[in-house]
Amino acid sequence: MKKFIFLFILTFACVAGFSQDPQNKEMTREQVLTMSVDELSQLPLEDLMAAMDLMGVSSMEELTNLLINKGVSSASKRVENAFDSPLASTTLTKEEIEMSGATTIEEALRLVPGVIVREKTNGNFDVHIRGLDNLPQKNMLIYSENTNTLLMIDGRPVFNYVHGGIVWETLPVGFADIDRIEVVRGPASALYGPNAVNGVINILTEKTNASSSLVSGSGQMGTQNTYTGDIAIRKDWGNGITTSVTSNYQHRERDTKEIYVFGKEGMSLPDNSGGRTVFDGGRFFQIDQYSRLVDANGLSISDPFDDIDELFDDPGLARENYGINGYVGYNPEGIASFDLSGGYQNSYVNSSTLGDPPTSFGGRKSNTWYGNLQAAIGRLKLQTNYTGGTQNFATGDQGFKIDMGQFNASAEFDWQIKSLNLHPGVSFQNASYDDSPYLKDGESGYLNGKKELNTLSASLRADYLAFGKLRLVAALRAEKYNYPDKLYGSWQFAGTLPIGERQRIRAVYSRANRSSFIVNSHSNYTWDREGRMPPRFIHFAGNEDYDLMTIDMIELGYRIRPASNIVLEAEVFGSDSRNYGALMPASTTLNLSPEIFQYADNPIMMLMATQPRTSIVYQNMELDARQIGASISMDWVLSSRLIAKMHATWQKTTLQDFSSYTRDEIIEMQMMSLAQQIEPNAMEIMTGQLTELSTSAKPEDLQDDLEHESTPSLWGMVSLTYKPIEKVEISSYGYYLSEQTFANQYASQTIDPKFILNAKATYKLNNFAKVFINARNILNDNSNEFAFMDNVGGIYLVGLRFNY
Amino acid sequence: MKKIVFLLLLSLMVTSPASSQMSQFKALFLFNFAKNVDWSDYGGTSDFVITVIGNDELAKELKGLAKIRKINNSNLVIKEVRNAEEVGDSHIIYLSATQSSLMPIIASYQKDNPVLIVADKQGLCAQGAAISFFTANGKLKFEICPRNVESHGIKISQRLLALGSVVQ
Repeated sequence: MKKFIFLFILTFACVAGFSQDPQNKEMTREQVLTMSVDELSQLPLEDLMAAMDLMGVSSMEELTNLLINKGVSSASKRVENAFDSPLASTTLTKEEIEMSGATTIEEALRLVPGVIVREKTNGNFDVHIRGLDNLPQKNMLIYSENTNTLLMIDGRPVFNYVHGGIVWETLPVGFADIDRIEVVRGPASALYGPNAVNGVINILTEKTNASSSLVSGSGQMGTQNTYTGDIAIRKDWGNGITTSVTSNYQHRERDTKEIYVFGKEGMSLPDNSGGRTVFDGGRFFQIDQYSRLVDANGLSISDPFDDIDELFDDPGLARENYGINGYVGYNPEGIASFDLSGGYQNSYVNSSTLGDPPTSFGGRKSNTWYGNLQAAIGRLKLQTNYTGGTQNFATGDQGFKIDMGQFNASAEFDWQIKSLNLHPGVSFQNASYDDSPYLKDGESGYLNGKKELNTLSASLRADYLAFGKLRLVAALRAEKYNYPDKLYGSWQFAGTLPIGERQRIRAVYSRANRSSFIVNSHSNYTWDREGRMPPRFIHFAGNEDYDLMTIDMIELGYRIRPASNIVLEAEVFGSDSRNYGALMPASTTLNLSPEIFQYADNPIMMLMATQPRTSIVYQNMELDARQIGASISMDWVLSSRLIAKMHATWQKTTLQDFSSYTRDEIIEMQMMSLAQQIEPNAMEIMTGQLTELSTSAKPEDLQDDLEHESTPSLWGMVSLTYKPIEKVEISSYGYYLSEQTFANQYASQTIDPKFILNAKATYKLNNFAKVFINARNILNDNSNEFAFMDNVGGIYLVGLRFNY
Repeated sequence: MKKIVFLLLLSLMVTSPASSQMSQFKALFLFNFAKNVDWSDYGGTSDFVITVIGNDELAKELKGLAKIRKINNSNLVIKEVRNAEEVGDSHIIYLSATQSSLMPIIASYQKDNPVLIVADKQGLCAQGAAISFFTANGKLKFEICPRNVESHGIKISQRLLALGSVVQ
């Protein structure tokens, strides 16, 4: 059915496309060319406009406006020239996204300096700004998620406050919605609140106006059963009322149904003839093989109580999602405007797990909806929104399915007094999550009830232009959280100095912090590990009083526009981040009874008989990450036919006070130290005088000056767009990632450098339709970009873009 | 072969002369705006002053126009400044795209003056511009915000209003 809808849209677009564009025939271009300035100046305005239409705006002028003179609104909370922005910021326009051939929003971010984009499975990506990813490393995969970047759609946070991070497939919008994506690099909590630790991604949707196409969109299909499509219907009704409806769809499959299982000593797969195949490391297995794998003691690798079919009900599917959105704008005469939007999305992906199974893969399902109201009344801006729905962060894993609700309300005032701009604001956020509706009697969830995070904040931003050219910016923000019950301050001080009209130098010092996350504050999950290696029970507990991860950054930037058609930018940055935390072992306890001695000749069985219990609590670490780095970028409109762009970022992150022990290593140390106390205390245990042994001992040794290798030291992009004739456009970009070594609690993996070359060729049928062929990873480099995830090779698509 | 590649690149890099043509038309538009706005309450200089910020080419075109044309029998005087504080008595202030970050500051400095602020970047009416140029489908167009015209005590002709894209 979905394919029929897809074909219907394509057919409609083709038919619509063969209509012809009306043209002005009243005056000829030759006549205009022969007119003197004096003659032109005597024309009434309507005739002058007609003459100008005949001359046309050169493609060069349009491209220069589009690519070189971009605006950005996220760096100062008002539109300004990106060239003058006090922060490291980039605007990615819908035209640039279309040219690139990117098939997802995440992939399009490869065009933005400083953004690391690694594909995990077909269409599912890890996205980080500048790095600081996988910290603390040697831990659960969840700590590799990007908890340092705040993503917003029209200022509405779309963020996973359960674990922290962005669940990309739950974005309800597609390319048909987007006007531009703005990325601010560096700490920006002072502007947008917590989690803007390493930057902000603000997706801004297109406003409907009288010149908007009634129907626009695109569709493409290709290898690995990849189908994507989006459509928008827009209408300006006059009297300041506009409406639009958009929809987007993606279906993408993996080229395998296997999943990666972390290696374990003596891991083997029994066969039907009573033999077994032993594996000495992690590798990909079929789903049924995964459920039969055992360790050296014959104990199941996977959780024997898991239903494999529920864990992976469609392991060959990488991503399927659709979204629908509606927008109503009311901009009456006067000083007020209102924008109301709402939408729904449904998604299922197989990507890196947010749970803690012995495989790196996991399913994720979401059904969410939202409503967002923005009002501008004079200089006062009000915004309120609610996102609700159901999310299952690890399908088939008990306790990961929750009902969620996020409410935000904010008020900001923009006050310009000559050269001084003041921008005070207040905001409130409530995030609530409840797993109880999905727990059967006796089942333990992760939260076991409804849990809430509340954040109240106040901010003030001052922007002053001194001596007509030196721009000084100071932004302060205070946040009061309920968990932890603390007040946090974030700030940003920036200065921009023009050197003539073509150069800018700028400097920034800023501090930002993460917010609290539900699992950090409210985890309450008991993991019964019956049938697996001890401990028998692990209890995960939140911590209501911990320090939030905080970063300080200094940045220097330089921009130059040597000619009107080229802009170059360089930035160097250094940061210090601390107060990292993780769910780590606090203590382990053995239950002792005389019966345990019946297993005296089998230490493992004796240990299992004590039913060890480990308490894991979210706790801060002494870890300190120091990063230095630099980015350069260039946008160059060489001619109306050729555009070149590039960016490159180098970084080095050094860890101080790093504990190299994994969670399992600490648990094993605690259990072994307790087990060694059984024999010396045998008499007390036999007589019932000693019924419990407990320890909270942990290794104290820490490492300094350790290079963090999860983040590539170098990454970047080079792109060329060439238009040999009016109807043909060929665009290509290559994205490079240098070598990385990723370590989680089970294994480490070195990922070789990768250069991903993409190309798209578009033929314009007429003013309403274009056909294209689109190759992602055209050289078919079939290697993985993210540890323990799929080898994502080339994907080749054909498609059509239309607007009418 | 290397020479061919070099020449090819050179040919691609040659920028179009159309930017001066665009400046000429923008100058003519400004001249035409002047004819379609009523400054009858203006009590300043008897010359008609257009102040240009950040566009030397446009200023040059306007100066050429000033030699041959008048506005309602007033001499056309073109001034060039670099920042908001330097802007003196003006009938029209033109703000280039590259200097558009100055828009809110100019609007604040000029809020009580009878002046038509024309910006060269789409969307600047939201920051106080009365008229803002933009390009769409290969054509030069302009947004016009009646509120930002009237708030300066000047009146705009219905003809000008009809030819622009009205924004609130």
